[in-house]
Amino acid sequence: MFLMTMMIGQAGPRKLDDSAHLEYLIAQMAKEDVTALEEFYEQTKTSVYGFSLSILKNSFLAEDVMQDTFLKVYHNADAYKPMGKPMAWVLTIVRNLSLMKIRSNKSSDYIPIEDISISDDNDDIQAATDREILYTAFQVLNEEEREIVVLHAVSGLKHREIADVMQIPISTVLSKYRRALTKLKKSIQEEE
Amino acid sequence: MTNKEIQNSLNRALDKQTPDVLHHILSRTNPVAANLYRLDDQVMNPEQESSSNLTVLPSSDKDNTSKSSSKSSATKRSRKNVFSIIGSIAAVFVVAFASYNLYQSSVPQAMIEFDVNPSIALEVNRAEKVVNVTALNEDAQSILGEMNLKNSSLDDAVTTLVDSMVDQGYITDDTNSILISVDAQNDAFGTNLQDKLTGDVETVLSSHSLNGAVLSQTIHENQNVNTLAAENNISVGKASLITALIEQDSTLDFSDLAHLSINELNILLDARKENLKGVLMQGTASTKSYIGEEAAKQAAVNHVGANLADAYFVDSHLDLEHGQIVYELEFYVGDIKYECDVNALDGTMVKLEQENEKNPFIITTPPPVSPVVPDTTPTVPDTTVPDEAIPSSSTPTVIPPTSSSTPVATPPASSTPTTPSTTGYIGEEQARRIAFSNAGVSSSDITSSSSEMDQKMNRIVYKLEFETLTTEYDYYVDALTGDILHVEVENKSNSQNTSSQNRIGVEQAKSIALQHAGVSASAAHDLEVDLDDDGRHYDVEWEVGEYSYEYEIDAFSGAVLKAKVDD
Repeated sequence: MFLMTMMIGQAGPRKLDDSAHLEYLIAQMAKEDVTALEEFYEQTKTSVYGFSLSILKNSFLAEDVMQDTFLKVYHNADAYKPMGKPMAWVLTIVRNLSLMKIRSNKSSDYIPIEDISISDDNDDIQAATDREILYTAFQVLNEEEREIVVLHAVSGLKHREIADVMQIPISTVLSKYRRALTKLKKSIQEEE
Repeated sequence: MTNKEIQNSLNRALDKQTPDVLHHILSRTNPVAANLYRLDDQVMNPEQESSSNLTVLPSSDKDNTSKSSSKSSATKRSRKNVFSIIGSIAAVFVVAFASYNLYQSSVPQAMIEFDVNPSIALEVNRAEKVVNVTALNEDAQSILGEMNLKNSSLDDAVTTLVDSMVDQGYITDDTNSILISVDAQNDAFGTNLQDKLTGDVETVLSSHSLNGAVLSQTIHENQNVNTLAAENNISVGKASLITALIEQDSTLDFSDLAHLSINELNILLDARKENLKGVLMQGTASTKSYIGEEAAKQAAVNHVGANLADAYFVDSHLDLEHGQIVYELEFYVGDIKYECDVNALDGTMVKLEQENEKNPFIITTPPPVSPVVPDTTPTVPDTTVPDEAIPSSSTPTVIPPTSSSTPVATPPASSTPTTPSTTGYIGEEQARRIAFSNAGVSSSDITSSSSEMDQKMNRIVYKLEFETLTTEYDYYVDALTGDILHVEVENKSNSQNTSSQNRIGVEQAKSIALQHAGVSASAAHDLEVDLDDDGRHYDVEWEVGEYSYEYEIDAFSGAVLKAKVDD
């Protein structure tokens, strides 16, 4: 575990495939172990933020949801029932908080151009390209496609789990995912 | 690029985007904070999700068992089976299949409800003869009047009813929507009726030279929907329609929608391109009583103090906000993106949000920057620099004022409205001034205000919240540059459309409370008067010495609802 976290800087964000460890951390959080929270945060922050951003398309609001999510996770860790799908639980919280945010802010989701804070200082070529692709994704994909693609990219969830979190049929997940990637690839190619 | 490469790319990009909020989180891990975050069924148990109003969505609806929890992430996705039946039929014909037996002539086989404003229910037998007629509200009674429709054919009855409604002005050019709800246990019978009735209604309307918008749906006996209908004082058909709408978009509020007329509901459906299962729409809901998109756009730019010519509109459509039908408009003026909702009837502003953001419709080159050292170097702006930072210059990029927040101004900087301070933060006072001035309020208008420094998106910001009697403002101001990064403005209107003219006003509420308490105005400190969100009472609070007073005064009668003194 320790070695894996050391590699983060080099290889980029780690893919979340260690459900057992996450569940362990949740159990620790239930005992008010703050270091467990810290580690949980480091391992899952991109998933949480990314998913929220894909729903809200607003960095300010997504940041709020991110904070609230971790606090909810921490303060309700004792209520979590280990079923091998910790990320599904966390991301469901993200989704619900995001929807509530939409409701209270009534921010509309038909905005074609989204607010994605993009910092361009210290960007190397790869980071700049990555940013382009992210921006493209937010531009050309519709709500569901965006959410599905982001979940795939950052959360390590399988199709079935994505279907659970988003409360849509798995067949929809599969077809939209395919369509989304096709759209993306097409747009990326057009830009080159 | 392979799928995998794209995914990795997104992963890396999002990882870079993710802000660091750990310290915020850690500061709230104490047990006291736990109370704020403890089990909230709505958030923790998705299977029991309910839209955040009081009502529970029907789970017994046999059409939607799997879909009733697919609240849809607030998406308005169009479904494959889109049917539009628009009818502005005032009457609601509810067809209910009571039983499927041989006593056809007297036993009702279907119940049909007509809703326009008047709400009428008809029961018909297998032979489509009217067996029973019920007026469901007062308007309906005035329609039915002396009519005896029993034993007439359904077609005749419908014709008569619709005629009457047109004559009595319930269906007009401006309000041309009718909802037909059919409750028949035999689906084929029901669908047949639906189609037939829609046709009948349209025929009648066109004989009056009216274009109708007919909405028709099949409904089934459902306890939850019945309860909702009763609670909100609307017909079962209307409640059913609203329920279907909410299932598509859980951000909608039932009672908000219940207050809308069928025409307004229809307009909403139209505007959002909602395709509700089982609901057919034909014709177009009339928006004649609204100011129109052009006028709405003008109103919106007026509200932000800009010129129509300077605005790039990104989107505009009708929607529901604070219980009112509004035009939602999004547009750029320079580098500020606005979202402005204006009331569809009169253009008054209902909501406004703005963000500083690079306008993707304008490719700007950085303004000429004078060199730091005044020497012979020409001041031609280096326009190629932005291109290097961005791989593809043809793609408009969204650049928040991040680069302008660096304290040292290095040429060429991206366009910055203010010179970045090299000495530190601008201070809360200055931030407040910036916010108030942007909002167009003077400090005497402010009823409450708070400010704090925070870190958002890896930037230090001042978060300012303040209110006037009518409006709530949230501002985020960059602590180094004074740029306004994010604004939310909301009218503190209640969602119940009660006329504000009937309220007693804050001044009177204040004096009633003070008088009741036996305190003179001059003795009261930190006095606050607020119209409560529900619009039904004023909250009046103040302090005298060590005592704090809290009052609730009825907004219409001035009665003291609650009085409390604490030390």
